[in-house]
Amino acid sequence: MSSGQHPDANLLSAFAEGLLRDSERSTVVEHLAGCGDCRNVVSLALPPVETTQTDSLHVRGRWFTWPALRWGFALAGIAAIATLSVVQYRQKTSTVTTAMRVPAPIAASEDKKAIPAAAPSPSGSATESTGQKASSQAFLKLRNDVASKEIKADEDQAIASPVPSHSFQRKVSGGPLAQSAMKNVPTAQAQQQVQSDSLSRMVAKQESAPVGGVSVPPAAKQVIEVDGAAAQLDSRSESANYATTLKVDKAKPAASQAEATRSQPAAPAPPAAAGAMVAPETMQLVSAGSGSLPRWTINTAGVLQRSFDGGATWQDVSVYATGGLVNSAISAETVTIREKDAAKKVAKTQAGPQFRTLAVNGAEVWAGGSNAALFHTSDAGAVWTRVVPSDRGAFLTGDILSISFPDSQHGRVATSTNEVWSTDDSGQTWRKH
Amino acid sequence: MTSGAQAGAVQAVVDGLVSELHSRAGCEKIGISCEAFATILVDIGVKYTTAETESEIREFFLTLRIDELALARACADGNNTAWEIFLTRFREKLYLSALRIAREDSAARELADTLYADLYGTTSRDGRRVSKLSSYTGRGSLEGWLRTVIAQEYVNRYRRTKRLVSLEEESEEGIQFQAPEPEPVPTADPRLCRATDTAIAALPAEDRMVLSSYFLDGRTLAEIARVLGVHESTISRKLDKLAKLLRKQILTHLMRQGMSRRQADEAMEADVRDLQLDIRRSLAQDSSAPAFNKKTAEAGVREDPG
Repeated sequence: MSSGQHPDANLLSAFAEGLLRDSERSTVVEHLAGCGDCRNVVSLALPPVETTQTDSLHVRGRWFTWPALRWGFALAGIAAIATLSVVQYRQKTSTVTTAMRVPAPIAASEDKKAIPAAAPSPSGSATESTGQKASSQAFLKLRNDVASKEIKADEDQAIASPVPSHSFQRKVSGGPLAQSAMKNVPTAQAQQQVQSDSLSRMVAKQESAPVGGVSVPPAAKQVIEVDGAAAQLDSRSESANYATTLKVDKAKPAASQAEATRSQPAAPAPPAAAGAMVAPETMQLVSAGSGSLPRWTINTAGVLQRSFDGGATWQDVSVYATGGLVNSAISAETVTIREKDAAKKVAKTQAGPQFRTLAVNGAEVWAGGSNAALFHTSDAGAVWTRVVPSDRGAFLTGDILSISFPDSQHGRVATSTNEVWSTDDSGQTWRKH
Repeated sequence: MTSGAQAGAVQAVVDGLVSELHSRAGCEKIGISCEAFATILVDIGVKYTTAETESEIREFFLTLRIDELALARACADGNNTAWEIFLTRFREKLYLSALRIAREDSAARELADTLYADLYGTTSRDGRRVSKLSSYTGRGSLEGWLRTVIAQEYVNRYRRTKRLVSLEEESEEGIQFQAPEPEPVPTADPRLCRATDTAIAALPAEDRMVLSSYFLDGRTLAEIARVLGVHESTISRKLDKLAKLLRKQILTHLMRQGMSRRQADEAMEADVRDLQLDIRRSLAQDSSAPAFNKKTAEAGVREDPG
């Protein structure tokens, strides 16, 4: 083909639009294979790309374009994941209370030792003292000094001359000050109540003292009347910075227990209550009967310790002494988590969490520490319960920095994640602030 | 079938179709009579049909862009209504096409103005104004034809301006003082050149077109794919396949010329720049049969980019 036989614009445009017959097309292709000018013309004469894309989109339809399909796939994936999650949640979640009640044998044995000391008391009632601590430094000081100092006060002194605010203040129910300081105690046991500052940590020491007769008031305000002449209260505290109020309360026992107490006011504590594994009620009776409540502290290693001898010797307390999960009386909403999660937490903290703070209200002890470890005992450490505060599906996270329980009902917990949780029912339900 | 018989067959088909096509194209509104339209159709039919049957000729006419053909011919005849329609529909598109081809506004406007002049018909033949629109045959869309005409004009202009280089530009480029290129010393085996030439010449036209567009013109895969109406990946696969095929055929040719396989492999490792082979000439070699018969030259205005 000579240069004068280039295909005309009609053929070239028809070739570009694919409108040529096969014979014509092969002829044009043959020419284009050897003619750079015509190849340039065809390439330059191509329609703009945008037009082609618009046409192709119009032909295919919007629902079959890639963006629509992409979003469709994304939505389908989300729906599938959500469905699987719900199904798995229903299958695997059993309402397992996360509260882990672990009876501590060591506590039982110590109670066993404490009982004879209280046994000579003719009245069998309890007095109690509490200590509070405002800072960890002060706490350490307190812990070091607690062995060397001893505060002895008989009941008359406690009633007549309350300790100034910077020191322990002892209030004995039935006395003039104790009456005004009484608070409701719902449990049917002798309550040793410690009022503590919200940011303080507390060390409580209590030694049983012989008390004369015990009478149980019928009102909701549980007051134990202590025979002042017989009461011997030996409490020790060395930190003048701790405003501690010592109150001697006696909760209204259950009917049968109250009857037993009334009928045998001077009877010693039942020795059977000092078993290794006892029911909470039994332990409470032992505590109440013996009146021997330990002092609590946390050592520098974050181990919970208690002392039954006024701080002379301290024993480590394991909140997982027996391990295992036991259903708790704490409400399901508060402590229900997945069984698997609970088991994981148990395994993780089986070695014992690192405690950082403590709140003691008589026999009620709240201990908090690393990894949201919050333990509670209502019987001076005989049985510990792991508490996992939750509020509308949110769980407490972080390390617990402070615990404040001004009374056994109301409490606040602050964490390292700036969460503040509060309860108004002894930790059965929690609110996150 | 002789040309006379072919013309008769076309005339017969046109006589049967002209009334239908005339009304379908809306020729009445733009001043084209049925007889004039029949003449146009016969000319086009004779130009593009060679040995088709009447049914094939009929099919050919039915695939024409009849309405745009009528519009273009009416414009060529100077019908004002047709020009209004034409300008309304194509003025902006024509300028945008020129801008896309020239890539510069002033050049695009100059290109478009030149084309408008050609479309209106500044030249006269036998006392009649000759419009370029009279060469439109309706094979493709009028818009595509306009783009092709602009592209041809642009290529022609580029070739003209390329030949005209001022002395200052030559001085600036150092061409005037450029030393003559030394005669290259052939280092590759001449048998390799012959084998390559033979292998390329044996390729089908479309494959050679793909190779030429990609390696000589520097077109992208997407551009080649759009020209051939296939997917980009098809061109990519075709190029890979052609490279392997060419290597295999060149090796075969080399061994036919007395080389061992080892020698052929070593010859294939020669630097391409050492080959005394004009690939462009090999790819651009003409086929034995002419692509277009002399009817193309008779069709009216010659659109020769060269």
